[in-house]
Amino acid sequence: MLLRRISFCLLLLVLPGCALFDSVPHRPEDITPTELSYLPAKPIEWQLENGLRVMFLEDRELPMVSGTLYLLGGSVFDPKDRAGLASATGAQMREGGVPGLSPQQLDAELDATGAAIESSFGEEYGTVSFSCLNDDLSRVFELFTSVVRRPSFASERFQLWQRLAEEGIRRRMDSPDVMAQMSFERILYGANSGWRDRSTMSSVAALRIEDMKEFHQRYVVPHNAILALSGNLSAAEARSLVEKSFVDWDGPKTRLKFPDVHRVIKPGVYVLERDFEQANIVMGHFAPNRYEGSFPARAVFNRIFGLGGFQSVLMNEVRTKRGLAYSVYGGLFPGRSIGVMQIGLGTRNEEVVNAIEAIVEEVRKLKQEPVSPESLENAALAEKGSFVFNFKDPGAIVARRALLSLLDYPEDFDATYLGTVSALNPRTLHKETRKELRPEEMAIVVVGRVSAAELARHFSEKTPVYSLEFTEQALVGKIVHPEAGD
Amino acid sequence: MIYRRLGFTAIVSFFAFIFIFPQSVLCEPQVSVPAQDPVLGSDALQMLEQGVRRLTLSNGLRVVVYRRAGVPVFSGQIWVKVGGVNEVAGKTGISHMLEHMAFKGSEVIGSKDFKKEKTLLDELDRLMSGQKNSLEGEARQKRMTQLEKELDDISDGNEFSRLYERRGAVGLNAGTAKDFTFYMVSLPTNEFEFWCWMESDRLLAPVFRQFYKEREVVLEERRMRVDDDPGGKLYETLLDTAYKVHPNRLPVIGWADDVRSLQAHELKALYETYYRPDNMVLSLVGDIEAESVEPILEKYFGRIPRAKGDIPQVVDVEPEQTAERTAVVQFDAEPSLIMGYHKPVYPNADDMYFSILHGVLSDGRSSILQRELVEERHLAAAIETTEAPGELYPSLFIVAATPVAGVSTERLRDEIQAILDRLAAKPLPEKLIAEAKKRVRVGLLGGMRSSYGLSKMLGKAELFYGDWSEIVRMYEIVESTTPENIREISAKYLRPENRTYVRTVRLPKEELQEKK
Repeated sequence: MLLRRISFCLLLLVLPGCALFDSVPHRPEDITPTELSYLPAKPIEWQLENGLRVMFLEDRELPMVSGTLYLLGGSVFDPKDRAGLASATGAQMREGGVPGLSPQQLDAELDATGAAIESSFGEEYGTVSFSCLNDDLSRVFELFTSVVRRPSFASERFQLWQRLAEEGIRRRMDSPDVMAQMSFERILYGANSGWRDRSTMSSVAALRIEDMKEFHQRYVVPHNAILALSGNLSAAEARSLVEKSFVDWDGPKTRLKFPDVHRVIKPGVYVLERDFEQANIVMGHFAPNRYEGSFPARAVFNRIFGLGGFQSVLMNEVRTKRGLAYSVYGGLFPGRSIGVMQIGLGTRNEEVVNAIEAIVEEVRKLKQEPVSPESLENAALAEKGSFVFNFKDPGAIVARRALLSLLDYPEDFDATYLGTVSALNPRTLHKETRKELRPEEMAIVVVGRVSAAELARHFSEKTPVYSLEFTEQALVGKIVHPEAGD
Repeated sequence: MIYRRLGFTAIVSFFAFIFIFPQSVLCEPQVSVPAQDPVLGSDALQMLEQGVRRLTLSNGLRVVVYRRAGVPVFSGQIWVKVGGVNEVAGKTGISHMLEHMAFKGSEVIGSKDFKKEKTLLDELDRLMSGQKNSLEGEARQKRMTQLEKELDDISDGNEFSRLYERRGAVGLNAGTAKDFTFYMVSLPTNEFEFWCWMESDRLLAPVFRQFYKEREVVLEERRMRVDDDPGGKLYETLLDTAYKVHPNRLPVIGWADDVRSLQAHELKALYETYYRPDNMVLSLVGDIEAESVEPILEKYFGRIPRAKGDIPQVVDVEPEQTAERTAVVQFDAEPSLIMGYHKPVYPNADDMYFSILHGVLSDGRSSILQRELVEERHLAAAIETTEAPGELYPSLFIVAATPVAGVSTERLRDEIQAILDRLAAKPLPEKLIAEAKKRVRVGLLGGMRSSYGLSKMLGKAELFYGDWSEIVRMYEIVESTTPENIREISAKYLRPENRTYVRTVRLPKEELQEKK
């Protein structure tokens, strides 16, 4: 014993390079990081009299300036027979030219300088963005302003957009994931809700330029807009730039009323039989909207459930352990009026039943039991440790601030986020989330080379199986009972 | 080298998380060095020349570091010079498989009892490789399931990524391409030593666990990217048709039968051959200072032993294509087409002129193909140009397009060719060339804001050319492009005899029924 200890010490003396404090730790947990102290810069904010809010941060890294105007409003407000209107308006604001410049001239001028201006509208909000070198700022900002305030909506460009939109609609049936997602949304939201994509060949064909102008007048207004700016300029320069272009911008000060969702989903398995090598599955039901419950708790839960890389239950059970999928995800996705609990994956046709059963089992477990303290700790540490990436440059900081504000997140959202995550324990997390997991209420869409009759044989009689037809209009369902022997 | 992102991607990526996967696989920027314009201020290449540091560790491993001070985060990448191009028919997909396996842990990470685990892993390998006297049929399946269960009990293939996530990692991922495999992650800077520990550990003693399950995962990935995706199928067929000899012909994700035949022990040979310090590069971009981190890098990565012997080189030479090649892909979808023309790669200067060719042909709404074929003549719904499959061996200039309803793929092909023929006959106006150069320059400048993108650009260049600053020389050539250069490369390469044309066709309904 003693002998060994002495020779060990000798070894140390003779070979100073092997001094213990220099050796690689046995495990990575033995490495304790220094404290990360980082306070993201706070954007300078001001508001014009017309209601336009501006958020600005200097960014001296590059001789460039960029900005995004966020506008509340979107396809959720499309009239049903004109579904596609918001999308058309968003695209055409940029593509349809501005006063004094034909669409082609606008394109050519931007392409020549390497500057970019883009615009689009989604479901709930739209954006108009620009990016350019400092030297081109004055001219590009002027063009940006025209795209926002005075788009020309040239008819040739609009007709081109219509043709391409129709082509896109035609090609929906080429993509199993698109069909699965659209079918799922149709089942959830129903035929008439603006919270899903209802655009069809006829609704796109019915659009008129007057419709776009009206949309523009109603939704591209200062009162519901936030401009997020960053770049190589001072706050004073930013103020003067914005004043010059937007101080006389006016528009109605309407408070937008987003439609509610009151729907009871018909649970069951919905099968769209198509000749693909892999079945695309989307399943779920409604969940809280973003103003209900705790966003940070949901984010932590989502990491555990199906959005947390390899750590998530879904990844581990479906992909790692069973090899049933390459792509699998799941989570609680909040929206303005309502949220969705949604799970999705792609698996070989012959494994559809196994995959669904494995997933339903995991959802049941999460509903019944709180997660383990280790599980929660992993997810909480991941959420907290990666939080800094939301603030990775001034552009990201102002964009985040603008979006959180536009969508009515509480003022102290970022300030209280990490504390809320730290305060979670398995019991409180379970309490928050268990009512949002209702496997028996799920609509399960399957697009693949599987027949409804086949699936009906596997699922218990409590789970109806429907056969779907996917057309651009809607879905036609018929119930296939096991006894029917189809 | 400098090519553009497209739906048809040359990189088969590891993850396809809808919400986590990096949204923008950054374009290699197309930039010119502004030789004479003082008004435009500092430019990206100057910033890089001033800021990039190169380190070489005691074992020959090179590291490139570029500091972006400010936010305490960094992007760390490992670049290995192995990919699809090093594979052979019959064993395609093996580099990509190795990439997947690199996340399963090591002898330390994910291992509860490595001695026992190794015994079981070896038995599983022997069982799966169907050696003489091994079990067959149901008995084999039963033993396999048993072994996998036992192995799952004494190992944890998720520990590697779990440890990373706990430290705030973002974008933990990897990609395999023709000429390289790369591993990336972003972390807060105070976790730099942790990164060194994790990356050096998996380079030193990886364990390829859960291999047979992961083979199934890769087959699902293949179904998603190729079998059920017209674009993926077109691209795979293009390579298989345009190349007859060179391994650029083979799919990086692998033919399905090849993937099914892969064995775990085959990965070991691949790893030992290519994953060596003189065949790898580390690239770091973020709030990281080269001088401060050098000792830590040496402490961890310096442990990787130098390899002996030569690294196998790709010796196949693709013979010149002398007549047009065509192929058809049966797919029940709206038609689309892809065309590929053989072209050289850097250090052939022509490769750099192609950057400007892409710029004038397809970059921006006023680009030639967009303006003429989409907007003015209503022939194409979408059209893009790109280059694939790799950058170290002669590649393809690619045009991919979807016709509008009622226009045949043949007609669209001919209209595209007519435009390319025009470019070959008459030089474009200097103005167009100058504007394309400016877009390239602005693109490179904007790219400086992405630590991930910068890390990628630097790591790849250092790996390919032995010196990241080759990028500067490449962009000097881009900047020097003249209208005559564009005309010349169009005439030389964009000829029908040098072209491979692949299109999708729908199966007639009757044939579809029969197939069922």
